[in-house]
Amino acid sequence: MNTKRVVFTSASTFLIIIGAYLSIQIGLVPIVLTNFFIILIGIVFGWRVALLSILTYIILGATGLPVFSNGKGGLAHILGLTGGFLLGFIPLAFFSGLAKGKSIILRVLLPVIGSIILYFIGVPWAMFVYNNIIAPGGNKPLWDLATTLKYTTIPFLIPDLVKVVIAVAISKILEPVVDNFVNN
Amino acid sequence: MAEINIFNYIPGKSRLHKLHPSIKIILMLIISGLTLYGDIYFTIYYFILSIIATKFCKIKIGKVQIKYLIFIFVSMSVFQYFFSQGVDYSIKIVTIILYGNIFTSTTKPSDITPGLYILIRNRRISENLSLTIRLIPMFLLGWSEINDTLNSRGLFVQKNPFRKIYYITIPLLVETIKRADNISAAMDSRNYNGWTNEEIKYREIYLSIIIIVLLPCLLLIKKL
Repeated sequence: MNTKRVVFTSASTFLIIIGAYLSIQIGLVPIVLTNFFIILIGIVFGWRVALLSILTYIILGATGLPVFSNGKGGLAHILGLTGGFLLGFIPLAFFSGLAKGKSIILRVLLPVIGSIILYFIGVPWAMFVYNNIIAPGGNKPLWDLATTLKYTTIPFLIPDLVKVVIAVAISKILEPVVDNFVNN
Repeated sequence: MAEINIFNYIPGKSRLHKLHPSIKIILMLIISGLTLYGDIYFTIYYFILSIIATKFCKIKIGKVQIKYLIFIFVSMSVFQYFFSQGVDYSIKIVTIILYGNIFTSTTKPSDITPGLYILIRNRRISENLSLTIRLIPMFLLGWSEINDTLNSRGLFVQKNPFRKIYYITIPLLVETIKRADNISAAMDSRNYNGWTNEEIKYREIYLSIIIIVLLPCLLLIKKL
């Protein structure tokens, strides 16, 4: 790995960190740009850089630096309610990284598959943590699948799709510029 | 924003500066876990400890940062007052930010790589991690410039969120890539070749610091 690739990897980690702080309020749910940047980095730089930067991001957060959304950080946050979504970023980064240099259909399809895997990891995790750690109730669990989907998935589905489309559009502009920087 | 020197390394000769980076990372993991998941006693103990450590290592927290921390504390307390555990939660967040600041200002970026390598045995991740910690302030400068420019043009008054995304992300991407290109050229010209394993040999292990940090774990044993 030459120096440029190393620096671009840390630059993409920085972009992911900034993405967690850039929240835009649309309606009730704030939209965070973390997964937008992950998809964009994957498509532009490839899966190696995307995986490296997302792993670095998670380890940075685990050591306690406030890099997650709203200035949170720490191992407890990864083991907490939204921890599954943080770990789900790893397959998202990998799948969107596979789309580098592919046709426009695959560029949209692969991040969507990654996002679906993200929700497959995140939703059961959130259900488990809420029912067993945050609010351990008696026999009946407080959050069933429908409630968990209502709070963690359904409000984010359409924004996520919009983010994929915008990321693919921006990657078309950005890719030649980045290739120019990396290869020279 | 331009005055930000949070998460920068500040040279010094305190015990925390000399402590082995691997132990520092493990202690950070334990502290962050106990602060967020533990009782109010853990939170208060670690909050006081963080203030003492900040004084002890002579880390200067500028007026801007104190204003920022007070703003986070007050806004979260007011916001969460109507819910349960309002003040508790805000102290937790402020404590974690303070520990992040202590960690980055007492550990050399070049020490983090070998320190982390001992724990996770992956050279690329540890190299990237230390480089990211080193470069975050530089990239943040670019971000603050963009923020000021957009503020002066009145972008944040606009209500269309898509336009905001467009005007924020494109300059951010271009600026970051340009800076990364400049930095990599500078590093190449200075013969950067990863990291060396030599510096970490002279780090010391202080049992006193480890005991002070792990002291509240006695409470956990008592509970069991």
